[in-house]
Amino acid sequence: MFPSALPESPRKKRQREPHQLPAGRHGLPRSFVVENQRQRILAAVADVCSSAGYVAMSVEDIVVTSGVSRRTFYDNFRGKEDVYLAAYDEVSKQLLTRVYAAYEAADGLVARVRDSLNAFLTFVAEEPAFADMCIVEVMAAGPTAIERRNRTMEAFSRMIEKAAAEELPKSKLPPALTAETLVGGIYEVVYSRVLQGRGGELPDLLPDLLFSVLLPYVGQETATSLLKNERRRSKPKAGKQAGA
Amino acid sequence: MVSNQRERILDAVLQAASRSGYAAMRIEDVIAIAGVSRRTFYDHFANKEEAFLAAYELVLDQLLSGVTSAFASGETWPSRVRRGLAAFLNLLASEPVLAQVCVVEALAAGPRALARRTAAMQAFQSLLEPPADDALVTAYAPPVAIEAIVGGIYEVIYSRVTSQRTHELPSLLPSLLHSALLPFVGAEVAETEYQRTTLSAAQRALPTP
Repeated sequence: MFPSALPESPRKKRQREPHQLPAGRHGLPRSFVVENQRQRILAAVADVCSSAGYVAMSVEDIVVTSGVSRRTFYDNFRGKEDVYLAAYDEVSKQLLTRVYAAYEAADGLVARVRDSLNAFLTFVAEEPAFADMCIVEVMAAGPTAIERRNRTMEAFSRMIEKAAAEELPKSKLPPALTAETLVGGIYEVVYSRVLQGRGGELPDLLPDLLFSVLLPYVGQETATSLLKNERRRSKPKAGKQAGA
Repeated sequence: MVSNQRERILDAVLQAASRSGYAAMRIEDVIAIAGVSRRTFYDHFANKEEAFLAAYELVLDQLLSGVTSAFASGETWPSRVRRGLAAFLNLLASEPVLAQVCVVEALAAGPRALARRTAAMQAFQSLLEPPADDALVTAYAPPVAIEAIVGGIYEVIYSRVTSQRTHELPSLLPSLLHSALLPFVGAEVAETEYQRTTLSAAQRALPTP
């Protein structure tokens, strides 16, 4: 749809890469080959989607990038939307698993929010193609993709609400939409950075974002002192980089 | 007649995009709704993207100017935010086609629409920026807070529009207002505004005698 707007064409014929199986007879069990093909296709979706965008992505691009045959592609998936949704589910599951693990490992509202937010920002910074696919392109991938995205967002809001409800009396809880609004705010900050190819900067925003998320639950004074602590905590790292 | 045709095409783009989504929208649909020929469409626009961008620009202006003038009518910063936000939610609820195009389809219409959307989000952010000399603005929040507030409001709206609940938006005013004010005016003022808007929403819901 936007051929001239593409930064670079994903339609380049690739040589076999280390993760690709050799063609022909190799004595590997069929179930392994099938699973491996499926994984290669899903990895190609993230690559193509982040370089070309969902709208411009074609099955042809995915076939070329993954190095499977067209036939193999259609053995596994019905088409572009189907394969996108499978890739989205896989990556969002990975992301949620990481964030939940950080949440569960921490104790209390402040630590839980901090560690899970940190896990989220780190994931986005480390996986730029996944971030593009799940945060930016998902908004262009049709109503089913959007609905799944909305559900992922709800899962994050419920985590904040649960952590808050376990620690605070009902009378101290902010209005009902607060967690949803906070999660949406983080999403927008992340979305705009990923869109500009600056996802790597996100972990630096942890102190400020943490302040925004905790403020409605812990109040101005506690949130401000957490902000200061958190900025101090992230400083030595920046100093080391500057000195190196 | 010519400008009338252009307006009809733009209106048709809004309807077609909100009905089938930008990706699935076809120029055939647009010309059928507008009642113009294919040739007339191409006299005005080079392609689907150009037509969408023009329509998007039009409704964004409408939205921004509605919110900006409501915002300007308030005296203190909290009352400005209350009025601006109420106007925003009311406008979207009364114009579901505009809401679908501005909030949902703009994110699916390619890099130029996205760039336009980024600029609109920044305009909302600078509108919301609390003035340092307002007596009610007492608290400090880090720079990213404004971006997160505008984004948070956007998200709440986005999820309602994408689940066919656009009409509920005005009822969300008290909670969204609380989220927008809290970082800058402190808990007490935010709570007062929350109670006040909740109360006036309840009064409006009463049948008029």
